[in-house]
Amino acid sequence: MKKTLITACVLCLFAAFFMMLPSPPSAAKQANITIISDAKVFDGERWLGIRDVAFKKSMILEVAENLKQKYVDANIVDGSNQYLIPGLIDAHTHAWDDALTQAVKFGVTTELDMFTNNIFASVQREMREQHDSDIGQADLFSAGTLVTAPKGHGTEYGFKIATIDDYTKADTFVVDRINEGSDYIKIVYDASNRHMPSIDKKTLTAVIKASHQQGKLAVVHISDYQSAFDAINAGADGLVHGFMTKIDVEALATTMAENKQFMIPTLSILASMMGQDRSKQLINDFSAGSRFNIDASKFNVKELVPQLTGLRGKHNRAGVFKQAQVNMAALAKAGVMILAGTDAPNPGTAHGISLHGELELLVECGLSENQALMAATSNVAKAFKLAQRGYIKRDMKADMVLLSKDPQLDISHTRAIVKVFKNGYEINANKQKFSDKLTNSVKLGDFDKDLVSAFKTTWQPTSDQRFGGNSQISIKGEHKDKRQYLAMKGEVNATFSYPWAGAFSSFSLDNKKAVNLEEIKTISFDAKGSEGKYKLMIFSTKQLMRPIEVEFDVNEQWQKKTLSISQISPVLLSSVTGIAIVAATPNSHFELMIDDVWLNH
Amino acid sequence: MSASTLFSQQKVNSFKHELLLDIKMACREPSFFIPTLAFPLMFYVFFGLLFSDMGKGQTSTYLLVSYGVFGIMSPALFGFGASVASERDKGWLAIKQLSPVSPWQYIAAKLFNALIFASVIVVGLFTLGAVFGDVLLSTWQWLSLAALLMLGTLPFCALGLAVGFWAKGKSAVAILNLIFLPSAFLSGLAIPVIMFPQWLQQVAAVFPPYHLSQLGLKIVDMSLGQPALIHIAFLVVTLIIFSVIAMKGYQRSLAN
Repeated sequence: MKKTLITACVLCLFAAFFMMLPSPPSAAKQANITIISDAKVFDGERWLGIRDVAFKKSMILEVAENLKQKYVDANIVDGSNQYLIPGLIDAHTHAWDDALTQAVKFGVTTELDMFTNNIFASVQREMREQHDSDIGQADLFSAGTLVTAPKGHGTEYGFKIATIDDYTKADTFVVDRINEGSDYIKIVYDASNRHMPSIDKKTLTAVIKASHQQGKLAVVHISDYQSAFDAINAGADGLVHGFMTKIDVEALATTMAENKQFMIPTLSILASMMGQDRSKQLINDFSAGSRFNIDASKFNVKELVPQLTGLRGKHNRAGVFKQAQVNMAALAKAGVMILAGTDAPNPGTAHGISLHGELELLVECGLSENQALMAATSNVAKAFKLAQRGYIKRDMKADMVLLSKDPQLDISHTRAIVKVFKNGYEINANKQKFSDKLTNSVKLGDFDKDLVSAFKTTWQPTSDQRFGGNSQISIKGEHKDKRQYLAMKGEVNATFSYPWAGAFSSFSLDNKKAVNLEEIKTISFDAKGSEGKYKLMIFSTKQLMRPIEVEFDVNEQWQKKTLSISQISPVLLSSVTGIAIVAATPNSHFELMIDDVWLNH
Repeated sequence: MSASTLFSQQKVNSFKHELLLDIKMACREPSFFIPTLAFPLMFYVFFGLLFSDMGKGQTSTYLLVSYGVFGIMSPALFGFGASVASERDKGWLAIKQLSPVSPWQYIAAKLFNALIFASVIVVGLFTLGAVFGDVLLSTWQWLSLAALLMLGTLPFCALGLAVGFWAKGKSAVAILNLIFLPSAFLSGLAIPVIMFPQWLQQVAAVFPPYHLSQLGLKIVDMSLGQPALIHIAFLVVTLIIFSVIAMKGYQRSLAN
């Protein structure tokens, strides 16, 4: 007995000793864990009840009850009496310019683009991979260039795209799209050939087959029943528009449901085409004095009003639009998977905000509130095989929207946005507005000691290689004739649609912070080199597709070049992230030397 | 009480006596237990605490592991191996072999004794590291490190025993010293292995203390990143080889 006591005491002493040994502060604080606590959680498929959601950087660690006790030092976002849903996914948009920063304000954390310039798409694909950064914008997946016939739908937007005129070219055409980076293949098909030329059924089938061989989804733009029927029978993975044909859709619905082919009805754009203005309530809900207690300054919805009210169809054809909803309802009833997509920013729609309108239109068709939520979250993730999105679950991206009202009661409550989290960072829409206004002249580079600019960044070689071009460039500081300058050597090859090679100066270390150049009148520098045409490129966050370009020429003598930029729209100049001086016409070898680059007030 | 339980009761009793006897003998020999306990602690105070200005407990954590290994080696080698040799010299072993104490109990008692010494050293080192060295480890890490050091005494006990059964009393101590200090040094216990020249780093890998310390460093995320299984395999093989050698030595001493 006595010995047992002694043994127990010794063991206790040991236990106490080890408990007293110091431990580092719990892992939570160091690893920067955040918990959204006590919100009612919709996980993408069903409501879980009140849960804590813990995430570390961009990844959700755990969804469970009482996580505050597990991660004692975590940052807490109080979600009590609030509703947490996965970041919304808009399954049909066309993205450029500031589409993605617009979208994320409204809780749309991922956009599936159905045709944009593939340069924009390539840049955004890189952003999409920066999981742990506070990117402050939605992620983009993109079809890149769509598949259409010569002079077909998609060719009317003023920039040249590749087209397909023969089914035998389907394989190479699809491979070209994939090499450009397309995440999936979007095909334009019109069985009637009524409005614009369309690819034929044979080509449609061949392109779908080629896409599947390459492991990519093939989705089809259609606008009537017959086209939908052909696309579905050709094996399309989904349709990216609804249709308004008055017809019994049962056969189509059965096939789609059986083969798990999905439908993105884009009721928002169909409503706009049929002159249905649904924008009033939407605008009010995001404006000051909204029925939801929101911070209207975050949304700045005023600037979207012209876009939302400028409908595509001027005549009120409510009956025709109703038919689109009836068709959609029949498909949904037959078990076809429905995805929410808006076709923003086409007339009558805008990025982000219109998805909330789309959800309401879906519920009008008879979808339940939860089915509508699924249509904008897990359904899209499933249909497009998007990893780590569309759910609030362990190992998903921490893309979430916190709402103050229950969307189970009324789908319009998705507009009651309290906070949006993208990559685990709270979106603060206001902070994006600031950019420093440059109010005096700045010597951007004198190259006397090194290639460091006035913004403490180093001049960098730049070329079209990151977009698949093969122009070559090398730059270095040189010292000759009592002058120290930046020397470029390279070649410009015409592989890429607008090739370039030269030197780039960013205005910030992460190349994200913009500077306001509205007050700058000219950009000047000394230049000499191989005779020919060169370009000054100005990169603006407000630019549409291509940077602003100002041409200049150069010869073998040092010359001062003063390029006026006062003609350029102040909007573009208000948000410049950097400039480049480049050779931009095909050239097997060029040399360009520049010195004393000034931004002149 | 049946005969068999009586028998097993006797066994337990003789083991207890043997163990207490062994501890008492060690305690009556301050020239053994003071240096054994004090050396690793003293080295740790010098190199781990006083001279470590790297800050943030990095050095003190690293050296806590290496002096931990250093610390458990000496009771295992000397308390175990050398004492067997000297007891054999004095004729003690012959008496033991005639007494009711089985050879396994004799060994087990010595082993237990070495573990007690090791645990005292571990507790001392941990206290120093925690109080003066800014060593911060999770409770799980503290416990695993302690358990590893305890288990880690086994191959060194086998090594000590092998030398103890084969070498004569005085020469056993000399031989063990020749093994102990160079292998401790070359295993990177005093100076981290990464500071060695490349060829010497490869030499380190043949010494058991290197493998034990790498296992310990794995627990505190400071190891060189070799697979733990290699270290474990090396230590297990060492244990087996030297146990066999020790057994042969014991049989030889019986035959003499």
